Amino acid sequence: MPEPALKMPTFVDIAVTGRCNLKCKHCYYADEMVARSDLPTETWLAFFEELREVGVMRVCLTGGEIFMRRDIWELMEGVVRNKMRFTVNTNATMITDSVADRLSQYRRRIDHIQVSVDGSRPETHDALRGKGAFERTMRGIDALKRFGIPWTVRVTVSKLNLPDLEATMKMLHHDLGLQGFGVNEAYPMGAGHCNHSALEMTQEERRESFRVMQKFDREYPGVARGAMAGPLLIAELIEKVNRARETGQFDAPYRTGCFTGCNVMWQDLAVLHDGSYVPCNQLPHMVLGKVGQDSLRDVWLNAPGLKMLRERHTVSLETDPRCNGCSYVAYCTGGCPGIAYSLTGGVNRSNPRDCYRAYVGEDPVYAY
Amino acid sequence: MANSSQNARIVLSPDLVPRISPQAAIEYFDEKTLILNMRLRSVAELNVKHSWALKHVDGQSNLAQMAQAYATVFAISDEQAWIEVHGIFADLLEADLVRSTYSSSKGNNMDTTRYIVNPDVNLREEDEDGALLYNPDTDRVQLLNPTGLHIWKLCAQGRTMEELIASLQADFDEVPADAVATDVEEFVTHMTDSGFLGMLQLS
Repeated sequence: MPEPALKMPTFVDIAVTGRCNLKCKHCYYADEMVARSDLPTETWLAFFEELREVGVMRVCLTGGEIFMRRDIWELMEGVVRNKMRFTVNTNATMITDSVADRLSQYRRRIDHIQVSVDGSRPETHDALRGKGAFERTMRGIDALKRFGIPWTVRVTVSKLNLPDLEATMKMLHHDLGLQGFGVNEAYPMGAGHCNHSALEMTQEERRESFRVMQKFDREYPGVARGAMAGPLLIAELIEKVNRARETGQFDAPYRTGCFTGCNVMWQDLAVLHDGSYVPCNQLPHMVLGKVGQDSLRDVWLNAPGLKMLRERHTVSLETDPRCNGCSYVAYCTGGCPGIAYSLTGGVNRSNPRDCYRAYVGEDPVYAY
Repeated sequence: MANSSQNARIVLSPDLVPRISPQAAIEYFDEKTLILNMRLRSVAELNVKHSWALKHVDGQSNLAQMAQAYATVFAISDEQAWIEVHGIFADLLEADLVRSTYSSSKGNNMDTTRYIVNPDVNLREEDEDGALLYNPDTDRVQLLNPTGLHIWKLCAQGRTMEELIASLQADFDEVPADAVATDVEEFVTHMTDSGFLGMLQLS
């Protein structure tokens, strides 16, 4: 039975609220917002104490939109009091000067405030996030800059904003002076699942996103490498696999041939806004326990769902009928289990979006 | 070398006696000085003032004495010399190129100083092989072996160097007492320089 690599997680992703002031077309969390209620202040504060006791080092405060909570300062105070650093995911539309001023009190403990920006102009950004969102987000970023708070951006690319991707990255780098940001593809989860047909890029569009990202990376090396996944990394991986097939040499920094594409279960944990422990917020269906009822220690060491995900690393990709006999298995890790589940209904399935055969055009069906 | 203004939070005592870290190797050339940090495997070129300061690290002189000499050599006021010497050694300590001991100019400092844990640091006990300290203010991590963890737990109650050494000598009675004392002093000095331990001066 694989044991967790660390005795306790080092990082916990915490959705402190399911409420949001926007209704984004690609929100992966939208399904979770509907049927769950936010935990009260005192439960979160007690949970932060538990995090300190087990030695968690940093948390991400996310949602929903965290500034919808009136007690958000009390929660941040709780994180700081319990000896952790934190990041924030936000749409920044509620970051006024007074909010930025208050945030600046925690500057020493903030890794960064991550703002979602999906376009270089209102027409693109607002098409995904709602009328007026772009202007308010830019005002929020301006406040973060003026109050000296470390900030970054996550761009979520889909069919709707792909034509504006290059301009968006240039706007972030040139106009806003951002030295590092990340670009991800929209997840087919939550609202993103409901609007799947409008958002999902074709293979040609996906290849175009690779070209745009790689061109930008050549012009501004490293600037758009803030994401752990996304088009740039996939493009490079595909090039690497193609070279490996030509030369027979594959310099993989990870184990391949099994479902090793996700390492979250070895060091991280996530909590939904109703207190449900989940392995990752891309796996919201896999509830491992409940804050206030189950101890984090017990969940981390004993939850069957986490054990299953850890064991997943030893399961051959060829157990997935879609991968059985695939000539790319030796180079593949199966990708994100969250997206795999969302698209196929199974966790021990490979993520069709990370499929080499599909990318190189050998799998014309690209079926899921 | 990092700009000294980045170390604004480090406050060094004039009594601090710097000595070259075992991690550092220094090469003096006619026009420049190179310093190799063996732990980080990095090489840095020192400017004239950092180079002068390192040349005068003799294990005897404290920062106040070095600042005095520095003022004369660079023809600046005593006040400015202290600011610059403080900044230089804050840089060097931060980079683990020098480490510190304390002079006895104000009496036997080891008798009166209690070492205490930094209350902002969190202890994370990983397994039977040791633990990890995390300082969320600086985002620095310190790994502890079981002996280091034992010292850390003693310092949770506040201990003088002599008490720490005596406790460890009792635990490791098969090791020469001098060797234990040196190891404890080195560890506590490193932990103090890196901000995981603090010092409380008893009246």
